[in-house]
Amino acid sequence: MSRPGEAPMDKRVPTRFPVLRELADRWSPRSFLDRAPDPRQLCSIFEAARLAPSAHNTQPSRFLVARKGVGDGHARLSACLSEANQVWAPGAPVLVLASVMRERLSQVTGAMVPYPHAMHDLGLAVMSAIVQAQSMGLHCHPIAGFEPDLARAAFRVPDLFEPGLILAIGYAGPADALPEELQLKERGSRTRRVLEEVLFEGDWGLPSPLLAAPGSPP
Amino acid sequence: MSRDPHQLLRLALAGAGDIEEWRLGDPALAAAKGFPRAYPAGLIDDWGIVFLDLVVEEGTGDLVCHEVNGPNAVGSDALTGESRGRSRNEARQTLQRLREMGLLAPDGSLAGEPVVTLHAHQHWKAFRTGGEFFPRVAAYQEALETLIPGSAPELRGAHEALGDETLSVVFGDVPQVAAHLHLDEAAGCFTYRGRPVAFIGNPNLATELARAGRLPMRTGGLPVAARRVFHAWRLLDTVRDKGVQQDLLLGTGMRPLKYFEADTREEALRLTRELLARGPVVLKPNAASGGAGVHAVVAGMTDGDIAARIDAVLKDCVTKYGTNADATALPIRGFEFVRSTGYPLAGGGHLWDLRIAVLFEPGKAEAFPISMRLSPAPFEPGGFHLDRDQWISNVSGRQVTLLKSGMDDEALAAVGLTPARLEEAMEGCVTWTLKAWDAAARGGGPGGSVFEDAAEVEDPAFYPREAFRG
Repeated sequence: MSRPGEAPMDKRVPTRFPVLRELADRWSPRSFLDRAPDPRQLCSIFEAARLAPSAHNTQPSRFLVARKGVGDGHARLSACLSEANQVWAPGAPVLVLASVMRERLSQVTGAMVPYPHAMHDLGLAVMSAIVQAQSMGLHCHPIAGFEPDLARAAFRVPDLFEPGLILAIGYAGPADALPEELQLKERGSRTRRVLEEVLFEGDWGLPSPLLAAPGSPP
Repeated sequence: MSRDPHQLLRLALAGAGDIEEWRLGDPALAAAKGFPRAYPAGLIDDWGIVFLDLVVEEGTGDLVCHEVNGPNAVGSDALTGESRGRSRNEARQTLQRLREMGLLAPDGSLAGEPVVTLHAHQHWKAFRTGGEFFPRVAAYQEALETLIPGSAPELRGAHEALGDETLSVVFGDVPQVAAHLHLDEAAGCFTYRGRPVAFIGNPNLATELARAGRLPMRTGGLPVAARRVFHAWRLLDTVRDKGVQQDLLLGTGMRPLKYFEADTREEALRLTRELLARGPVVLKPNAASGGAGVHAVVAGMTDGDIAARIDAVLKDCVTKYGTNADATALPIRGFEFVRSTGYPLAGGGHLWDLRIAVLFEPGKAEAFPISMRLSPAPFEPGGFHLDRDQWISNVSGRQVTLLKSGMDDEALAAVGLTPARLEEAMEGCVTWTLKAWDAAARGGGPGGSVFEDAAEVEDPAFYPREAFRG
């Protein structure tokens, strides 16, 4: 358990194969310190998001940042959170409304066409942001529980864009700063499926022989 | 007595050969016809204006756009007799840039160091657009004053020093303004007489600096703040590249013209010969405006004749822009000559084109027809290449007697532009603008990431496939 002033909880997931430290260490805290990230760190985070790949290089992602203590954006975005998330997420010094273009322009037909990869591309951009944040000692928590229509109205999001998620950014705080019912979740371990359940080869459901290749860890 | 405070100025300029498109303006008719026509444009996220010059092709009836011009162009007063919509658009972009540059206080007033905006008109040698330009600058100044409380913008000619005002609205011809315009690499912005620049209304200033070797020809590498001060900034390179303009016409309902690009005289000669197999060819220099360096070539000409025309393309640029023009005139491009339907006048059918403006802002585009230009002389297929009066370019056919309003149903019908076709043309122009804006944001153009998707070119329905749908 972490206490105020202590180092954030270590939630590193053991991996059989080496991965980037940022990926192994990353987790999604609900408790954040009352300490604003440096503005330049925030710019780096969105610079990283900007570099993410997208289908056709459509670059569909847009980010609206709301900083606590800067205008009323943070309060307005907090009001768009679901009831359960309003318990903890407003404690993050930075909330970000991540939105994505719902349609793209076909350069061939000149028409706006559906863009089924939109949320996927937004996810790529958000993950880039998360990894960048993690590398700078910050933590992020992507939040699906919010009212997109409320956010659209609150921030005049154009029709072409769909609010996809809210991203909380800050320094991870102590679990006991949270209401009691959330502390247990906060201290829980990160649980992931084993590779055999997600990596197939040859046919659906068949674990890849890669995992049993000579030299592979058990 | 006219309510137009610029009437006297316009009449005086008209006496000096100014293009008088403002005389075509008819606010009541424009309102009755619903011009400017508004279109949703969710992809557009900034401000600007473009002008597309179109014809209906003789024989095929195809709509063809032979050229797109950027905010250097005029004619935006032909709809209502003034360019206030364009001025407001320019002013709103300026306001946004001032905000980005940290030069606006929370209460919306100017804060920080004095700042400059720039309007430049074309080179004096061919300056025939003052009737549109000067009133627009004045309206821009008024719009800024309204948008920025207490800003008291001061009009300054490019020949004079700046004063103690906090916001200077500078105007003058391109060389005069460019002489005091510098890219401050350290600050990442343009400065004019040492003050930061928040708006540049004419993209030709960038070309002028490139000619002088003070700016790269491609503007993609410029600092963000420097690029974004140009009106229609994302299209800076597109409005100079008449080839990419044609590529972008795919899917707009207008037929893209065949063209080539040549980096040397020899290559231009060889490629001209090849394109002549399809019919006459129009040669154009890179990054020129006002019809400078445009020449026609036909199949019967000898290699020597064609080479002389290619040389003339470059020589014309030097004549207009000075010896530095060599730095920007290449590549030379050759386009298939498009013959419009004939506008019937005494003596025969005259070639014509119709200019359509697309004025855009975040989320919205407005299109409106400006004017039809008629060539001064009837078209004669056997000898038109020897007589510039037979075809349309910016250096011919601008007398007011050869201008027709883009709202003149009779004139439009005479060349095959029914109301339905005009709607089709305006929608096509908006689509072009969206495509150009989108492509520029995505690194479009040859070797870019937009036109390379062969699967979609072969089968427009390929993306998205049903299987991809969630």
